[in-house]
Amino acid sequence: CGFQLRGYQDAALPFSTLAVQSRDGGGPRDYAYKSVVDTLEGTNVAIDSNAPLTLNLGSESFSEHELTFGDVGSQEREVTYTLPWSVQRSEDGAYLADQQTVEATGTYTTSTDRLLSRDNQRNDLERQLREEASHQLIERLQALDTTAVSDESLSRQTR
Amino acid sequence: LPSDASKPIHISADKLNLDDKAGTAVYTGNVDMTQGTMLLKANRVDIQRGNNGNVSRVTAIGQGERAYLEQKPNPQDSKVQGWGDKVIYHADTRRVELIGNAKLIQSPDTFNGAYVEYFLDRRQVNARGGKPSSSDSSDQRVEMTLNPQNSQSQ
Amino acid sequence: APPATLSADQLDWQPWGEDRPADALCRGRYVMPAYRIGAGQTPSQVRSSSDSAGYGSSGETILNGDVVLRRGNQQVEAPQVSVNQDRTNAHVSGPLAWRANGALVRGDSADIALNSDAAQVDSAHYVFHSQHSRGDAQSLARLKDGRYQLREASFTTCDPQSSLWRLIGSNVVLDRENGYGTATNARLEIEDIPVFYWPWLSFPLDDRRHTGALWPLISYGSSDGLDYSQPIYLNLAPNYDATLTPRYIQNRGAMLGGEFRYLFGTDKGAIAGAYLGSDEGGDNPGGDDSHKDQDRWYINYTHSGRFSERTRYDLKYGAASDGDYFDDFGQSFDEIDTDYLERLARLDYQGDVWHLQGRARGFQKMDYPLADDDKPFYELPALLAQARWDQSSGTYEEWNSTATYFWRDIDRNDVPLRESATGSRIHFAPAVGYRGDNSWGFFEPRAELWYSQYDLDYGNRNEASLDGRDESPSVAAPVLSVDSGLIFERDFSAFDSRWRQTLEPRLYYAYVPERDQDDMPVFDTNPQSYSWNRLWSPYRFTGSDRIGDVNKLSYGVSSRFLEDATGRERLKLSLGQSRYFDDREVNDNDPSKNYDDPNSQYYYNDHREYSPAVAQVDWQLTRRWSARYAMLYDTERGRTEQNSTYLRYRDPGGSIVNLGYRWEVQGFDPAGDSKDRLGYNRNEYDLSFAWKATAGVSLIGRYLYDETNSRALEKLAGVQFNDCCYGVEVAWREWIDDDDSANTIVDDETKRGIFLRFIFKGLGGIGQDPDPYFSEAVPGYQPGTF
Repeated sequence: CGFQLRGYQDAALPFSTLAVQSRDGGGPRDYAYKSVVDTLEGTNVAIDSNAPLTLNLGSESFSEHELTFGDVGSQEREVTYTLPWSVQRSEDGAYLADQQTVEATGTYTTSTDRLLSRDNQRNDLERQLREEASHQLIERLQALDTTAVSDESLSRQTR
Repeated sequence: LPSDASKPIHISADKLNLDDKAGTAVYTGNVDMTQGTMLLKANRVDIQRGNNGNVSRVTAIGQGERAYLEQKPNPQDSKVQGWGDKVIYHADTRRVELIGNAKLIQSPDTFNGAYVEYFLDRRQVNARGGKPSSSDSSDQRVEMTLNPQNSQSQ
Repeated sequence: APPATLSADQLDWQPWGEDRPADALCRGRYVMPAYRIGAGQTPSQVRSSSDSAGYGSSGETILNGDVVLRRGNQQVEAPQVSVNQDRTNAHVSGPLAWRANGALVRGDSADIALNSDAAQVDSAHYVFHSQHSRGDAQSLARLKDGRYQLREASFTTCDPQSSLWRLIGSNVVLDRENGYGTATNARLEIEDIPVFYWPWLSFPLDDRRHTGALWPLISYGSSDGLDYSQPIYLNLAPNYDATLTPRYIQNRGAMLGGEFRYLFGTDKGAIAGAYLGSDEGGDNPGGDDSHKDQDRWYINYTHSGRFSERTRYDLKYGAASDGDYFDDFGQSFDEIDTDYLERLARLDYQGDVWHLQGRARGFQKMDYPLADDDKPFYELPALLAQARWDQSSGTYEEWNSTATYFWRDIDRNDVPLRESATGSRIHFAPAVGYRGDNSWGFFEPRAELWYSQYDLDYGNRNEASLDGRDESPSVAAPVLSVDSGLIFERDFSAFDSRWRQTLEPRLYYAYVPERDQDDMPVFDTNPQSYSWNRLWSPYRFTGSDRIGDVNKLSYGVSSRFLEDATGRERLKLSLGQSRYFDDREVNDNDPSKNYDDPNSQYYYNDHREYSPAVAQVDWQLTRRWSARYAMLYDTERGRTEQNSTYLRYRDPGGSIVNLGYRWEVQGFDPAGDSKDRLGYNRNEYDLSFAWKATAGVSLIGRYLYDETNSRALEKLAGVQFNDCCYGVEVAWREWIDDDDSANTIVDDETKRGIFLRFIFKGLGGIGQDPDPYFSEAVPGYQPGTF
């Protein structure tokens, strides 16, 4: 039925180096930056500040709300992770993708009896959503038309 | 300076023709007239003398370029400069009228307007818009630039 | 009283034509016209244009006839202006218009400084264009520091034609830079009728400060009767402010609340609290949970700071007089919902490899009466260390450790044996693994050592019941797992676009031998219910007091559909199940779960050969519609254990509609003690929406129906009416309070509440902050858009 193992070139990104800017500064507590960089390096993309393309990461945000009502026993809570991003050509700042976001949603169960382990559960879910969003970002970057960057077609209208 | 009035008048010009009967001398062609610190430049200057022989009125008219008058009201002041299509100096009242496209710089201020009247030995100035004498048809208004007293600009 | 207001055309007012934006609430806007003459070369130079000009007798400059004076960004238009000799002041007479820094002031006469921003205008009418606010004053003075001082003045943000509300004060000071104002003997007039009076009043001018810390909150509750509170905002300094809130509750008495907030560099914090002396008892003073004649209070302090980018600290202290405090005194649904107050002192260090944390933490649960076994343990302290080292070859090492001293203030003989101990626990979980990742799949073997050592104290627990229980038990167990998966892919086209579909089979094996942990306490551990994530995890419990024995193989497959053009994931299907090769022996020793009774659901869960099959669908149907579906189906007994379906509509304009259905069999979630586990099958329909009907009117609502007990768990209806300069919000809610006993609905009671909120825009921003509860009740609701 047409399925074959995903070859190396299917998964490859249309660039081998990428500069990554993060609104939260890429410091030790910029977990979104760390997750995206780890995933990029996992697909053999080198992080290089003077690469032809720059990926800009916005600030990650979590929104949470209850799925089950009140404090009847345990509550299932849904967490949605959102990471804004855009891609620019380093030399002239032209946007190849502007004001995009990747999202991931997950749930965790907690209750007023599990106050002590609630933080760990939520941190695990946050890490998982961040990873999932990073992989989605790779899929979105794969679909990016970067031919505009190559020299001979610089005049091409960027998307 | 206040002492200017008693100073002799020197005039240089391309041409001079006298009209003794009317007591006026008409100098034409880049005329330069000086009396003490007062300097007057114009294309044509008519000097009228009173019957006692003293200069009573000087009328300077600029063609193309406006007539120009400058004078130092007193030693510590910077000099006053005035332009106008026609500049009339009344010796008896020490009063100067700049008429048409008039501009007066009396540090620290500048007056622009259709008509500016200025008294040589005191800081008294009156400027008016009103019907212009020159070709400009719009109701010309008086534009001023006032600078704070302490600054020495212009 | 302030002079009469001018007509709109005198106030730079431009009504909307057909250029009216869709969400415009006001009927027009103030537009600053262009300057009539150019500015001077230097900021201090003054330029003028007039019919005539000249020097007066004492050297002043006199300008007459439609005078326009310009200095920097200030411009004055008047029939006559005279500038004093040393050019420090311009005296303006006749009807004047003075424009500067985004404000227009008209008046009868004025003195305007030329060497500073100061000015004084008599019988003034002013407009602040950007803040859409205006007013009149007997006299208006603009001070050197940019503040406006007005006498006998009025202030409003309503359109020029509307006199809906205005604030009048005898001495009003507006500080636009710091965003607040003050007024003495101030009164609020609605349609020229005085409604409120303040002897002294400080009010925020925009939402930078504490929004709505000015406007009364009126509510009527079934138990308390009329509840009226009037916040008084004190803007003490640019980086700290306070709000005092006297409050009167019909059936309880008068109370005083307050909040103080501060911000210093990267450190910020707030302390809030309230106090009511001898409660009158609410609607049934005799009732068992009435707190008649008791003092009722709460206090909540939070502070967060930073020593460096890597090292942060947080401090929290929350306490209340009793567990019913927020049920009785909560002023928003979110406050009523407060189910615990946290006490915390935490130091957190994030290194490149190590993540270290030291904290002391405890909670006060907001339940009344609070049984001893319901009280959470304090961590006095808890020290955590986590690290991970990744080698380029793919192997990695992890370190996870905690050292905690658990303590509770309880009568040890009142609680089950497993909860009666206090003491310390040392827990290590070092692990080593290999992660092979490439385009067609991954492979990850992993080995972890789980080690816990306790040092327990049973205090005055009677000896008999301890019967030789080990007071320093320990456990060591290996946690072995192998995770693997392949990724297949194909391209196809459908619905006239190109798609990429992946097929991702996954195989996971986990083994943990059985270790006797019966003598171990339960400090922070709870059994986990089945879920997709649990298929691929070796753990059966949260927390570190139990390592569940397991010998299982999980198998599953996911398929994702991606748009070729954008790479967006539009549809994701997943299916998975676990096959258990051995029964599970370790449990949380909760006698109420009858682990030994074959008819008990918990016995069944530990002896079943297959986990429930888990199916999940995540579908982004269109830009606005999305659906999520999850089901856990017991293949052995042929029944659904849990199933939830959500359909969501998101409109770019902010409107939202959510439809949900939830089914959960009784006993599905093994957590908590017997009182907290659902005593019936959960079968609920959930409809919630937030609808922006027009620019001015938005509706919010929720209806949650419990099919099993055929009752509505929650009905919420709210309407927010928004106009140019005011808004009114009415929210009504009726909900079931289960008194924290989930296993029976006998003791459930229905509660009602209605909240009325005034919003006077521009005067303290948008009324009270919208109730955070709405974001809880209506998924996707962002207060900003309403």
